[in-house]
Amino acid sequence: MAYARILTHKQRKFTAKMHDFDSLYKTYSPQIFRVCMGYVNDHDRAKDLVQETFIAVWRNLAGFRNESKVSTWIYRIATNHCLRALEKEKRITKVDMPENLAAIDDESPEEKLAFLYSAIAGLPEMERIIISLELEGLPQIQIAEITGLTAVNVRVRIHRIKEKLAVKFKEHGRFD
Amino acid sequence: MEDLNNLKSLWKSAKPVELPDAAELQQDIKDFRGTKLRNKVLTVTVAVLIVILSFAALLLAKNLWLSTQAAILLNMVACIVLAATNLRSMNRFIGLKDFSNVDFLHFLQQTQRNQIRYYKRTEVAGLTLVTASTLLFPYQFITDSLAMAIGIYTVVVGWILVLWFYIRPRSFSKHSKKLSGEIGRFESIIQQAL
Repeated sequence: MAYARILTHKQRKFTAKMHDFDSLYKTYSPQIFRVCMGYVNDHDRAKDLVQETFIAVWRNLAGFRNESKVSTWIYRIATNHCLRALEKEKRITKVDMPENLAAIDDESPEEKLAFLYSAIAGLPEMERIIISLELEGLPQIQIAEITGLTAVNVRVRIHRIKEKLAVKFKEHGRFD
Repeated sequence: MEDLNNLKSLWKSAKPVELPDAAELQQDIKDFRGTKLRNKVLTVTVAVLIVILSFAALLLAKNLWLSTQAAILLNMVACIVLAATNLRSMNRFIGLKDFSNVDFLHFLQQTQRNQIRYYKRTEVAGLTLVTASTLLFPYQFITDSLAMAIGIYTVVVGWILVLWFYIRPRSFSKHSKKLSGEIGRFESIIQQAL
Protein backbone atom coordinates (compact mmCIF):
# COMPACT_ATOMS: atom_id res chain seq x y z
CA MET A 1 0.00 0.00 0.00
CA ALA A 2 2.76 2.38 1.03
CA TYR A 3 4.70 1.28 -2.03
CA ALA A 4 1.76 2.09 -4.26
CA ARG A 5 1.54 5.55 -2.72
CA ILE A 6 5.20 6.30 -3.37
CA LEU A 7 4.90 5.45 -7.06
CA THR A 8 4.06 8.34 -9.33
CA HIS A 9 1.13 8.07 -11.71
CA LYS A 10 3.55 7.51 -14.60
CA GLN A 11 5.36 4.71 -12.75
CA ARG A 12 2.06 3.01 -11.84
CA LYS A 13 0.96 3.23 -15.46
CA PHE A 14 4.27 1.74 -16.60
CA THR A 15 4.07 -1.07 -14.01
CA ALA A 16 0.52 -1.92 -15.10
CA LYS A 17 1.57 -1.89 -18.73
CA MET A 18 4.56 -4.11 -17.95
CA HIS A 19 2.28 -6.53 -16.07
CA ASP A 20 -0.21 -6.64 -18.97
CA PHE A 21 2.60 -7.08 -21.46
CA ASP A 22 4.23 -9.84 -19.46
CA SER A 23 0.98 -11.75 -19.26
CA LEU A 24 0.20 -11.26 -22.99
CA TYR A 25 3.71 -12.33 -23.93
CA LYS A 26 3.54 -15.50 -21.84
CA THR A 27 0.08 -16.39 -23.17
CA TYR A 28 0.51 -15.64 -26.84
CA SER A 29 4.19 -15.96 -27.78
CA PRO A 30 4.09 -19.77 -28.35
CA GLN A 31 0.98 -19.43 -30.51
CA ILE A 32 2.40 -16.51 -32.47
CA PHE A 33 5.62 -18.46 -33.00
CA ARG A 34 3.70 -21.37 -34.55
CA VAL A 35 1.78 -19.04 -36.87
CA CYS A 36 4.98 -17.27 -37.95
CA MET A 37 6.70 -20.63 -38.42
CA GLY A 38 3.81 -21.73 -40.64
CA TYR A 39 4.34 -18.61 -42.74
CA VAL A 40 8.14 -18.48 -43.06
CA ASN A 41 9.15 -22.12 -42.37
CA ASP A 42 12.38 -20.87 -40.82
CA HIS A 43 13.04 -21.15 -37.11
CA ASP A 44 15.21 -18.04 -36.72
CA ARG A 45 13.03 -15.82 -38.88
CA ALA A 46 9.94 -16.97 -37.02
CA LYS A 47 11.62 -16.01 -33.73
CA ASP A 48 12.48 -12.60 -35.17
CA LEU A 49 8.87 -12.13 -36.27
CA VAL A 50 7.62 -13.03 -32.79
CA GLN A 51 9.92 -10.40 -31.31
CA GLU A 52 8.87 -7.78 -33.87
CA THR A 53 5.23 -8.59 -33.12
CA PHE A 54 5.64 -8.07 -29.39
CA ILE A 55 7.69 -4.93 -29.89
CA ALA A 56 4.65 -3.57 -31.76
CA VAL A 57 2.35 -4.89 -29.01
CA TRP A 58 4.40 -3.07 -26.36
CA ARG A 59 4.45 0.16 -28.32
CA ASN A 60 0.70 0.15 -28.87
CA LEU A 61 -0.60 -1.51 -25.73
CA ALA A 62 -1.62 1.76 -24.14
CA GLY A 63 -3.60 2.70 -27.25
CA PHE A 64 -5.43 -0.63 -27.52
CA ARG A 65 -9.10 0.27 -27.29
CA ASN A 66 -10.71 -3.14 -26.85
CA GLU A 67 -12.56 -2.65 -30.13
CA SER A 68 -11.63 -6.22 -30.95
CA LYS A 69 -10.50 -9.16 -28.80
CA VAL A 70 -6.92 -8.80 -27.66
CA SER A 71 -6.04 -12.10 -29.35
CA THR A 72 -7.45 -10.81 -32.67
CA TRP A 73 -5.37 -7.68 -32.27
CA ILE A 74 -2.16 -9.62 -31.59
CA TYR A 75 -2.75 -12.11 -34.43
CA ARG A 76 -3.40 -9.20 -36.76
CA ILE A 77 -0.10 -7.60 -35.79
CA ALA A 78 1.73 -10.91 -36.18
CA THR A 79 0.26 -11.80 -39.57
CA ASN A 80 0.78 -8.26 -40.84
CA HIS A 81 4.42 -8.53 -39.81
CA CYS A 82 4.61 -11.80 -41.75
CA LEU A 83 3.21 -10.08 -44.85
CA ARG A 84 5.61 -7.20 -44.28
CA ALA A 85 8.53 -9.64 -44.28
CA LEU A 86 8.18 -9.52 -48.05
CA GLU A 87 9.80 -6.11 -48.00
CA LYS A 88 13.01 -7.62 -46.77
CA GLU A 89 15.54 -9.07 -49.14
CA LYS A 90 15.36 -12.65 -48.00
CA ARG A 91 12.62 -14.67 -49.57
CA ILE A 92 10.46 -17.10 -47.67
CA THR A 93 12.14 -20.47 -47.28
CA LYS A 94 10.48 -23.08 -49.42
CA VAL A 95 12.24 -26.35 -48.76
CA ASP A 96 11.70 -28.96 -51.46
CA MET A 97 9.79 -31.85 -50.07
CA PRO A 98 11.57 -35.20 -50.35
CA GLU A 99 10.06 -37.70 -52.78
CA ASN A 100 9.03 -41.33 -52.27
CA LEU A 101 8.80 -41.41 -48.55
CA ALA A 102 5.92 -43.83 -48.48
CA ALA A 103 8.16 -46.50 -47.03
CA ILE A 104 9.04 -44.46 -43.99
CA ASP A 105 6.51 -45.35 -41.35
CA ASP A 106 8.32 -44.56 -38.17
CA GLU A 107 8.85 -40.85 -38.55
CA SER A 108 9.47 -38.82 -35.44
CA PRO A 109 6.91 -36.15 -34.49
CA GLU A 110 9.54 -33.53 -35.40
CA GLU A 111 9.82 -34.95 -38.92
CA LYS A 112 6.06 -35.02 -39.29
CA LEU A 113 5.85 -31.43 -38.14
CA ALA A 114 8.68 -30.38 -40.47
CA PHE A 115 6.75 -31.95 -43.35
CA LEU A 116 3.61 -30.04 -42.35
CA TYR A 117 5.56 -26.76 -42.29
CA SER A 118 7.03 -27.55 -45.72
CA ALA A 119 3.60 -28.33 -47.11
CA ILE A 120 2.21 -25.06 -45.75
CA ALA A 121 5.21 -23.09 -47.01
CA GLY A 122 4.32 -24.19 -50.53
CA LEU A 123 0.94 -22.44 -50.33
CA PRO A 124 0.27 -18.83 -51.41
CA GLU A 125 0.77 -16.23 -48.65
CA MET A 126 -2.87 -15.63 -47.63
CA GLU A 127 -3.53 -19.37 -47.55
CA ARG A 128 -0.51 -19.86 -45.27
CA ILE A 129 -1.97 -17.36 -42.83
CA ILE A 130 -5.48 -18.81 -42.98
CA ILE A 131 -4.42 -22.42 -42.43
CA SER A 132 -1.99 -21.48 -39.64
CA LEU A 133 -4.78 -19.67 -37.78
CA GLU A 134 -7.18 -22.56 -38.43
CA LEU A 135 -4.66 -25.08 -37.10
CA GLU A 136 -4.15 -22.80 -34.11
CA GLY A 137 -7.82 -23.43 -33.37
CA LEU A 138 -9.20 -19.93 -33.94
CA PRO A 139 -12.90 -19.70 -34.78
CA GLN A 140 -13.47 -18.93 -38.47
CA ILE A 141 -15.21 -15.67 -37.61
CA GLN A 142 -12.04 -14.53 -35.83
CA ILE A 143 -9.89 -15.61 -38.79
CA ALA A 144 -12.18 -13.48 -40.95
CA GLU A 145 -11.61 -10.47 -38.64
CA ILE A 146 -7.85 -10.96 -38.74
CA THR A 147 -7.54 -11.41 -42.49
CA GLY A 148 -10.26 -9.00 -43.61
CA LEU A 149 -12.06 -11.69 -45.61
CA THR A 150 -15.69 -12.66 -45.09
CA ALA A 151 -16.49 -15.62 -42.83
CA VAL A 152 -17.99 -17.50 -45.80
CA ASN A 153 -14.87 -16.87 -47.83
CA VAL A 154 -12.70 -18.14 -44.97
CA ARG A 155 -14.75 -21.34 -44.68
CA VAL A 156 -14.49 -22.02 -48.42
CA ARG A 157 -10.76 -21.30 -48.41
CA ILE A 158 -10.06 -23.56 -45.45
CA HIS A 159 -11.85 -26.37 -47.28
CA ARG A 160 -9.75 -25.78 -50.41
CA ILE A 161 -6.51 -25.51 -48.46
CA LYS A 162 -7.21 -28.80 -46.71
CA GLU A 163 -7.77 -30.39 -50.10
CA LYS A 164 -4.48 -28.99 -51.35
CA LEU A 165 -2.67 -30.27 -48.27
CA ALA A 166 -4.31 -33.67 -48.67
CA VAL A 167 -2.99 -33.88 -52.23
CA LYS A 168 0.50 -32.98 -51.05
CA PHE A 169 0.36 -35.52 -48.27
CA LYS A 170 -0.89 -38.23 -50.62
CA GLU A 171 1.80 -37.43 -53.19
CA HIS A 172 4.38 -38.10 -50.54
CA GLY A 173 2.73 -41.18 -49.13
CA ARG A 174 1.96 -39.48 -45.87
CA PHE A 175 -1.77 -39.61 -45.73
CA ASP A 176 -3.92 -42.44 -44.47
CA MET B 1 1.15 -40.46 -42.04
CA GLU B 2 -1.59 -38.30 -40.61
CA ASP B 3 -5.27 -37.95 -41.15
CA LEU B 4 -5.94 -34.27 -41.86
CA ASN B 5 -8.16 -34.19 -38.79
CA ASN B 6 -5.05 -34.84 -36.74
CA LEU B 7 -3.17 -31.90 -38.19
CA LYS B 8 -4.23 -29.63 -35.34
CA SER B 9 -2.71 -31.89 -32.72
CA LEU B 10 0.44 -32.27 -34.85
CA TRP B 11 0.57 -28.47 -35.26
CA LYS B 12 0.32 -27.91 -31.52
CA SER B 13 2.90 -30.59 -30.78
CA ALA B 14 5.66 -28.12 -31.75
CA LYS B 15 8.13 -27.93 -28.90
CA PRO B 16 8.18 -24.56 -27.15
CA VAL B 17 10.95 -22.41 -28.55
CA GLU B 18 13.44 -20.54 -26.47
CA LEU B 19 12.10 -17.06 -26.83
CA PRO B 20 13.58 -14.27 -24.73
CA ASP B 21 11.66 -13.54 -21.55
CA ALA B 22 9.59 -10.37 -21.26
CA ALA B 23 12.37 -8.44 -19.47
CA GLU B 24 14.92 -9.27 -22.19
CA LEU B 25 12.42 -8.23 -24.81
CA GLN B 26 12.03 -4.89 -23.03
CA GLN B 27 15.73 -4.25 -23.59
CA ASP B 28 15.40 -5.23 -27.26
CA ILE B 29 12.48 -2.84 -27.59
CA LYS B 30 14.60 0.03 -26.28
CA ASP B 31 17.48 -0.85 -28.64
CA PHE B 32 15.12 -1.31 -31.59
CA ARG B 33 13.40 2.03 -31.09
CA GLY B 34 16.69 3.78 -30.50
CA THR B 35 18.27 2.52 -33.71
CA LYS B 36 15.26 3.02 -35.94
CA LEU B 37 14.36 6.47 -34.73
CA ARG B 38 17.83 7.89 -34.11
CA ASN B 39 18.57 8.88 -37.71
CA LYS B 40 15.17 10.41 -38.28
CA VAL B 41 15.27 12.38 -35.02
CA LEU B 42 18.78 13.57 -35.89
CA THR B 43 17.71 14.66 -39.39
CA VAL B 44 14.69 16.57 -38.08
CA THR B 45 16.76 18.20 -35.31
CA VAL B 46 19.50 19.33 -37.70
CA ALA B 47 16.91 20.61 -40.21
CA VAL B 48 15.08 22.59 -37.51
CA LEU B 49 18.38 24.00 -36.19
CA ILE B 50 19.37 25.13 -39.69
CA VAL B 51 15.99 26.84 -40.12
CA ILE B 52 16.38 28.67 -36.78
CA LEU B 53 19.99 29.69 -37.50
CA SER B 54 19.09 30.80 -41.03
CA PHE B 55 16.22 32.89 -39.70
CA ALA B 56 18.51 34.45 -37.10
CA ALA B 57 21.09 35.17 -39.81
CA LEU B 58 18.45 36.88 -41.94
CA LEU B 59 17.39 39.04 -39.02
CA LEU B 60 20.79 39.87 -37.57
CA ALA B 61 23.20 40.02 -40.50
CA LYS B 62 23.53 43.38 -42.13
CA ASN B 63 24.35 44.23 -45.74
CA LEU B 64 23.15 40.92 -47.11
CA TRP B 65 22.47 41.10 -50.81
CA LEU B 66 19.16 40.04 -52.19
CA SER B 67 20.83 36.99 -53.75
CA THR B 68 22.19 35.88 -50.35
CA GLN B 69 18.85 36.45 -48.63
CA ALA B 70 17.10 34.44 -51.35
CA ALA B 71 19.68 31.65 -50.93
CA ILE B 72 19.06 31.49 -47.18
CA LEU B 73 15.28 31.50 -47.67
CA LEU B 74 15.43 28.73 -50.26
CA ASN B 75 17.63 26.68 -47.94
CA MET B 76 15.14 27.21 -45.12
CA VAL B 77 12.28 25.98 -47.30
CA ALA B 78 14.33 22.90 -48.29
CA CYS B 79 15.00 22.15 -44.60
CA ILE B 80 11.31 22.54 -43.76
CA VAL B 81 10.42 20.07 -46.55
CA LEU B 82 13.06 17.63 -45.21
CA ALA B 83 11.86 17.95 -41.60
CA ALA B 84 8.18 17.57 -42.58
CA THR B 85 8.88 14.45 -44.67
CA ASN B 86 10.84 12.83 -41.84
CA LEU B 87 8.25 13.81 -39.22
CA ARG B 88 5.52 12.20 -41.31
CA SER B 89 7.62 9.06 -41.63
CA MET B 90 8.33 9.04 -37.86
CA ASN B 91 4.65 9.41 -37.15
CA ARG B 92 3.93 6.40 -39.33
CA PHE B 93 6.63 4.42 -37.54
CA ILE B 94 5.41 5.31 -34.04
CA GLY B 95 1.71 4.83 -34.68
CA LEU B 96 0.25 1.48 -35.65
CA LYS B 97 -3.31 1.12 -36.85
CA ASP B 98 -5.27 -2.03 -36.15
CA PHE B 99 -5.44 -3.23 -39.76
CA SER B 100 -6.80 -6.51 -41.06
CA ASN B 101 -4.39 -8.29 -43.43
CA VAL B 102 -6.23 -7.09 -46.53
CA ASP B 103 -6.39 -3.46 -45.32
CA PHE B 104 -2.74 -3.66 -44.28
CA LEU B 105 -1.72 -4.83 -47.77
CA HIS B 106 -3.57 -1.87 -49.30
CA PHE B 107 -1.86 0.42 -46.76
CA LEU B 108 1.58 -0.99 -47.65
CA GLN B 109 0.87 -0.64 -51.34
CA GLN B 110 -0.13 3.01 -50.84
CA THR B 111 2.98 3.60 -48.71
CA GLN B 112 5.19 2.24 -51.49
CA ARG B 113 3.44 4.49 -53.99
CA ASN B 114 4.03 7.46 -51.66
CA GLN B 115 7.70 6.55 -51.50
CA ILE B 116 7.98 6.43 -55.26
CA ARG B 117 6.25 9.83 -55.40
CA TYR B 118 8.78 11.07 -52.84
CA TYR B 119 11.70 10.01 -55.05
CA LYS B 120 10.05 11.42 -58.18
CA ARG B 121 8.69 14.71 -56.83
CA THR B 122 9.55 15.70 -53.24
CA GLU B 123 13.22 14.84 -53.59
CA VAL B 124 13.44 16.72 -56.91
CA ALA B 125 11.75 19.76 -55.35
CA GLY B 126 14.11 19.66 -52.35
CA LEU B 127 17.18 19.27 -54.53
CA THR B 128 16.04 22.11 -56.81
CA LEU B 129 15.74 24.42 -53.81
CA VAL B 130 19.17 23.39 -52.50
CA THR B 131 20.72 23.79 -55.97
CA ALA B 132 19.32 27.30 -56.37
CA SER B 133 20.40 28.18 -52.85
CA THR B 134 23.92 26.81 -53.40
CA LEU B 135 24.29 28.79 -56.63
CA LEU B 136 22.98 32.05 -55.16
CA PHE B 137 24.74 32.00 -51.80
CA PRO B 138 28.41 32.54 -52.83
CA TYR B 139 27.57 35.30 -55.35
CA GLN B 140 27.88 38.19 -52.87
CA PHE B 141 31.25 37.04 -51.60
CA ILE B 142 33.05 36.45 -54.91
CA THR B 143 32.14 39.44 -57.02
CA ASP B 144 35.45 41.15 -56.19
CA SER B 145 37.64 38.46 -57.70
CA LEU B 146 37.07 36.81 -61.07
CA ALA B 147 39.54 34.02 -60.27
CA MET B 148 37.78 33.22 -57.01
CA ALA B 149 34.40 33.31 -58.79
CA ILE B 150 35.58 30.86 -61.42
CA GLY B 151 37.18 28.59 -58.80
CA ILE B 152 34.21 28.49 -56.43
CA TYR B 153 31.56 28.16 -59.13
CA THR B 154 33.55 25.38 -60.81
CA VAL B 155 33.48 23.42 -57.56
CA VAL B 156 29.80 24.25 -56.86
CA VAL B 157 28.58 23.46 -60.37
CA GLY B 158 30.72 20.30 -60.43
CA TRP B 159 29.14 19.10 -57.20
CA ILE B 160 25.63 19.92 -58.44
CA LEU B 161 26.25 17.98 -61.66
CA VAL B 162 27.51 14.96 -59.69
CA LEU B 163 24.47 15.19 -57.40
CA TRP B 164 21.93 15.43 -60.23
CA PHE B 165 23.46 13.17 -62.82
CA TYR B 166 25.25 10.51 -60.76
CA ILE B 167 24.14 10.23 -57.12
CA ARG B 168 20.42 10.89 -57.59
CA PRO B 169 19.84 8.66 -60.66
CA ARG B 170 21.66 5.78 -58.93
CA SER B 171 19.70 6.21 -55.72
CA PHE B 172 16.42 6.64 -57.64
CA SER B 173 17.03 3.57 -59.77
CA LYS B 174 17.90 1.43 -56.73
CA HIS B 175 14.88 2.52 -54.71
CA SER B 176 12.30 2.60 -57.48
CA LYS B 177 13.29 -0.89 -58.69
CA LYS B 178 12.94 -2.25 -55.15
CA LEU B 179 9.66 -0.44 -54.51
CA SER B 180 8.16 -1.47 -57.85
CA GLY B 181 9.05 -5.08 -57.07
CA GLU B 182 7.39 -4.82 -53.67
CA ILE B 183 4.26 -3.20 -55.12
CA GLY B 184 4.05 -6.09 -57.58
CA ARG B 185 4.36 -8.66 -54.80
CA PHE B 186 1.73 -6.90 -52.66
CA GLU B 187 -0.59 -6.78 -55.70
CA SER B 188 -0.20 -10.51 -56.16
CA ILE B 189 -1.10 -11.15 -52.50
CA ILE B 190 -4.05 -8.76 -52.69
CA GLN B 191 -5.27 -10.77 -55.68
CA GLN B 192 -5.26 -13.83 -53.41
CA ALA B 193 -7.66 -12.03 -51.09
CA LEU B 194 -10.20 -11.29 -53.87
